[in-house]
Amino acid sequence: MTEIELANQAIRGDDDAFLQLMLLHQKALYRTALAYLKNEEEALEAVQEVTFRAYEKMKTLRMPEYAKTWLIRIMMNYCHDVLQKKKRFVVDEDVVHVKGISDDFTYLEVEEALSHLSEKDRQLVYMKYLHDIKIKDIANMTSTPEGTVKTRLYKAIKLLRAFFEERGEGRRV
Amino acid sequence: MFEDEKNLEKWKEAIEKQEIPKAPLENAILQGFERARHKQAKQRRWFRKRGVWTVVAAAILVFTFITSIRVSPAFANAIASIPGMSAIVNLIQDNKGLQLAIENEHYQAIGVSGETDDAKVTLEGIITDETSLVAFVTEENKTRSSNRYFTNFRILDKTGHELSNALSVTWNMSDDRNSTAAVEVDFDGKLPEEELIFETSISDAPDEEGKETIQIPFQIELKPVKKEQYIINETVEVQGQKIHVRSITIGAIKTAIEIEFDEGNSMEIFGFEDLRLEDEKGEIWTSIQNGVTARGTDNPNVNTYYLQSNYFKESERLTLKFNKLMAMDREDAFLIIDTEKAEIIRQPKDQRFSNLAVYGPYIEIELRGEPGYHHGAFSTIMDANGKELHTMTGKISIVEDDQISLGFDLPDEEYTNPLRLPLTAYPSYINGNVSIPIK
Repeated sequence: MTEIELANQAIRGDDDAFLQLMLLHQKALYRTALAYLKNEEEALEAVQEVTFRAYEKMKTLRMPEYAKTWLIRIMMNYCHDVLQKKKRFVVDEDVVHVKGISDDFTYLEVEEALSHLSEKDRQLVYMKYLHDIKIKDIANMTSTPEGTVKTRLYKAIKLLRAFFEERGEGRRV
Repeated sequence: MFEDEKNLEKWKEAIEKQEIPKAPLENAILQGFERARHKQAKQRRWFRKRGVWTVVAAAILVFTFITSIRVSPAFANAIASIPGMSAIVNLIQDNKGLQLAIENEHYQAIGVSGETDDAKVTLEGIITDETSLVAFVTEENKTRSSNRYFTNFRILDKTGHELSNALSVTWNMSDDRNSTAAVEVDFDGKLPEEELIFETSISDAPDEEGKETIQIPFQIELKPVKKEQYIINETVEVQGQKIHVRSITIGAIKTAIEIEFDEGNSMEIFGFEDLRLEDEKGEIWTSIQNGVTARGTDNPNVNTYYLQSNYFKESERLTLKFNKLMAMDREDAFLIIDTEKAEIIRQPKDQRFSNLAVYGPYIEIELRGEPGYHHGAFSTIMDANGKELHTMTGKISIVEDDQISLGFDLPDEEYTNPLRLPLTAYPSYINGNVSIPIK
């Protein structure tokens, strides 16, 4: 069965197809969660929650060809909510960064830059650069004109660059 | 831009370098899936077409979910000594008649199992009536992940010839793997005395043909019981609508009340909200909560309504009472939809239908009722040329407290829009005060 057939079956309420679809995209979902939440346990919990939500919403998925993007968006929205809730309780924001994914400097820098983007832009960057989803597909999936997606992505990258540059200058001093 | 993308590339690599906890990840997905399925199973009531639908559905499969068990001390005593009873007590906790039957030792414990690689079914016991029986069954799904549905309950004779198939099945899911069911079976005429076979099919979906069957031999040993029949033939009026009460038959499993709605009524009466029998002490027997509540006959105006049985209760006087009926103007009692445009063309004046959605052959529409209103709204579908479309499954899910969603599959055949759906229930009522002495 192709991915689209699988998604179609799942939309029609086929439980086995739904499970297969979830297993097919489990890594992408887990990585998204990990990138957001920076904690294995929470990422696994997120995968569970997103599986739950996806099952409930499955039949509202209008475009089976974008099932993966759809799932990733549910994940990003969920993670965003979790982080928002956390903000209210975690006073020391650095705590979040202590358990990072990697000590790699570039990674940390990108992460920090990303945290300054709006959630919408951040999601765009995730879709494009972490999941290699084509701009055209992002546009279709989000019912946004392709040009708008391109412009927004370009602006987001520009913001990131500004941030890198500022940082770069800081380091040189 | 190039430099930035390189940074993002490194960022991505760092994320992808992370080890994937394979087993916990799969487990997370399975758990989310099980949770969602469990929740939906709680919300969904599947019903299934069998034979010809009448105004009132002929056979309804009902899922019930009961979290706490309430029974009388007398009943609790009676069942304590009966093997297998603890598992099925939840199926009859809302049915005084069946409880009374058990208290009066009109229950035959059987306790015979049959199994396949995937499933195990135990026929725990039966209660009989003059021409029907209720079989209590426990079911176990032995597979780890997938669903197993127990369908197509039948009674066969020793040679494998079908004597009767289930009139209704009420399920109760004990947990993910175990369920119990009360299967009601009607026979043409007297109960067979020879050795019988109780059969069920095991399938992957509630509306699928079973792949395997389980057969359990048994024989009816209960003393025959005789129904009590009262001919009434009285006509009463509620808000100008004439209702003819024809007869009342009290059996060991249920009480049947035959009622005719006058042909000349201006309203379509969908059913009774509080039809009941009251004895001289004020004790009340109400309608059956889980299982068949009513049945149509060849005459669309004549229906049989069922109440919990008071067969095993001595009473000097009995009165049939009702106050509230579900009814609406005949000329308003239908819905017209266009599945191509996903539009509601016509609906009752108070506009309770909304959000018609078409997902290929699957149609969903929302209905605003009162909190706790969980009725289906239609059972037949006619296309623009008057062709009847048969739907196999229907679904009711709860959207909000006072909002339900009704879903059904259209058959895989050509049809012409718009579709007309005569209503079989609607949150619209008439009130009166009817009291008919019967004994």
